Amino acid sequence: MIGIVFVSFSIYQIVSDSFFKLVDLNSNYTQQYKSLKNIQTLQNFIIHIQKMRGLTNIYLNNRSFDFEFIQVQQVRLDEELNRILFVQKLNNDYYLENQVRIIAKELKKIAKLDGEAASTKFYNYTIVIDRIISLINTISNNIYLEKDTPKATKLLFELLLNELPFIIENLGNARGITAGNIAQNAKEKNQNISLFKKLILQDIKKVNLKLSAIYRSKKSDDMELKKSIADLEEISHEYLSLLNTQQKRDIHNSSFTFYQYSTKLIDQYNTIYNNLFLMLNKNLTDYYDRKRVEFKIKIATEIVVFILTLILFIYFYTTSLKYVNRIKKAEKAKSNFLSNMSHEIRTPLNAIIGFIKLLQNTQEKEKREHYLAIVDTSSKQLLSIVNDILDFSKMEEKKLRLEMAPFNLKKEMKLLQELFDANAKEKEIKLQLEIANDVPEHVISDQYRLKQIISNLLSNAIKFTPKGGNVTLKLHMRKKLLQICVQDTGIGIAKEKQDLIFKTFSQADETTTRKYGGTGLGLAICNNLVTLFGSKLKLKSSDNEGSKFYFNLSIKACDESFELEEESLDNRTYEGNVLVVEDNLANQFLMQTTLEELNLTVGIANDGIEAVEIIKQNSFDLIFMDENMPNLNGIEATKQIIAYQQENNIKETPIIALTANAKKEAQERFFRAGMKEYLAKPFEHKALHAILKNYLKTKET
Amino acid sequence: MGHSIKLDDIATRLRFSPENTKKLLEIFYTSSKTILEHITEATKNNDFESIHRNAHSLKGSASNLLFTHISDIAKEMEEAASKQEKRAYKEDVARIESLLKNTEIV
Repeated sequence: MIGIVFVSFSIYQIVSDSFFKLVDLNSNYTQQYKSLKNIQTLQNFIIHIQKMRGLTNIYLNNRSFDFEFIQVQQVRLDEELNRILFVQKLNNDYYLENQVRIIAKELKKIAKLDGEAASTKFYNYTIVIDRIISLINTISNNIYLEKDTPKATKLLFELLLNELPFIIENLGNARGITAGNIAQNAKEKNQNISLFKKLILQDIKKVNLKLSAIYRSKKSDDMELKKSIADLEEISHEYLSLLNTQQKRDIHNSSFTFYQYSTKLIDQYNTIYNNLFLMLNKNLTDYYDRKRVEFKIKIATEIVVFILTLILFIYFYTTSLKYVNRIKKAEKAKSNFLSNMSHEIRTPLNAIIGFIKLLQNTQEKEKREHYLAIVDTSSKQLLSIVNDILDFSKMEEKKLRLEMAPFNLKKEMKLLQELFDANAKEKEIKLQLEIANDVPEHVISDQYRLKQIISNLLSNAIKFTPKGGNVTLKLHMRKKLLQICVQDTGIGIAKEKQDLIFKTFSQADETTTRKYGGTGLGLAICNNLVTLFGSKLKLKSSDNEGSKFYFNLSIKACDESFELEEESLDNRTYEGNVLVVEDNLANQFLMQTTLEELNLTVGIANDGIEAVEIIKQNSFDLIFMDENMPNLNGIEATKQIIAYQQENNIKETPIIALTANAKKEAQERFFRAGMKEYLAKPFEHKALHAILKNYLKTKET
Repeated sequence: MGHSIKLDDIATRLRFSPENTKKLLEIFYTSSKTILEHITEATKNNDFESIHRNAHSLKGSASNLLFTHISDIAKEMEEAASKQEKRAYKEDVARIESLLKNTEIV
């Protein structure tokens, strides 16, 4: 629980953090955009003032200059100023509005002052320009570029906010002064022109370098930028060549011509400035758009992760709760079972112990017989309970396997009925057996497990049916399957409890156990066994209306040949000469007599050494070799005999191991030594006959 | 406190005639005595291998004749000897001898 709260809280933090960063980003962008717009406006305004300054300087130095130009320029200036003020009002930028008003006032003042010297006027205009420049600086200082802004954008930003305005003002200033000097026909005019040329060369270099740097760091091919650089170079060269060729003539003589040419150059710088500004805006917009998308994706991802984590947490939490519940229930059932079990086990055990004590203390024949009967019953009961438990644990470990063999189904079912008849009669219950005509008489299956299932069902049926009731064991064919069902007219099982009873350690409820006794394992074992047969144990029942337990088996019918086998063996005899290698006298006699009764001639060897010697001198059709003998054991003797026969090209005599050891490792040893088969001791006649039949000639009489 | 064994049971199980069965029993008595002597000798010499082999043999022949009480003791001896355990083999021999004496064939 705490985990969920902690994780959801930290995720909330992360998401809200991203969200606020996005909001910040947006506001940052808006502000940046506004500030840059203002800077651009102000810079363009400076150009107007520079023109005003230059023209005024020409006029004040040469009154023959046409005043109309100045008037026109003044009008332009005023218009621009008003526009700026208007826009500022709309933007609600009080600080900026205020500053611009102050500048407007100062410009008006300068325009009015008439009797001023040219240089003073020039100076006053310069001061205003400086003021605007520092205003621009103030605004640009408040612009914050994000750390991951691309390099090109950063370089552009620097160029536009620092270097270009500086260059433009230098050029404007130089233009103004030089124009004034030319108008005055001052001595310094040549110097000024040279200085101006120098400046231009310097500035072009600087700007070009910067632009190339920007161009390099920008990955895309920017045509605008290329064009701007090309234009600047072109005009600069044009102007320089102009200065060089016309130096002595037009420019030296006409300040206005100089002014005009210079203005063309400065205007080109301004064009570049504006183009680059467009580029900067576009870059920044792109950058911000990208960032916005990134953030939105980030937030969306975080939310998704949060939801997923929450779902996972809830899932694990509820699963673990369920799991814990299940374990608790199982443990409770197990401890209930154990306490029931100890009672079930102790009861017969106590009876056995108690009655044995009584037996020890009495010599009366009648009493002793009675007590022995009780001990007998109790020990059988105890055995059945222990078997149940063992069976059940074998099943749990999945170690139980069916052993298929042919048997007489009808006969075995009749036997079962007889077995339970006594039980049923005690409660005056009618026990019936119904086998349909199409049920095969002989089948191949695991008769012991099958009988175990049916016995369990029958005993339950009898247990839970009251006096005078009916219990029927019915077998009939259903499609190609054999259906076996046990039906009773007993207390029945309520629908809600039907699932429960198939589960282990439970009977329909604990009161049932107490009333009727039992381990509660029976049905669970039945269920597992039926599953082993590849079927499913089904139940039809309801409260107080009897129960029908049934299942469908796919069973293989066969003929009665297996029954005949037992009987026909008695008449069979064989032909041949057999050697018995065995150290125990009684066993020798046993084997010899058994084999002689089957018409065989028998030789005896007392140990391995004798056996090898006898084989060298005589021939036998078959050898029975005991394993454990003194002097030379069975395995070694076998190896020697086989080796001898191979070396001397004698036909191999088959050797059969006689052993009490039926384990797999032992079997492997025999086969590796060269023995053909093994016969387990004490031997079954069937097994002996199987071997004799394999290796000797038969004679049936 | 004796055991009794039915001759008929043995005969049926082995599918022998009564005469052969009787003969088998005689041979069994003789060979068992010999085996027990071997075991006593082996016990003195701590020859576990010999005890194991002989007890194994006795176990087999006794169980053929339904002398389960004897074959059980022989089995215990055989298992103990295979693990080279110290055991009162002498006592086992004595028990088997008394059983051989006291079993009646009916």
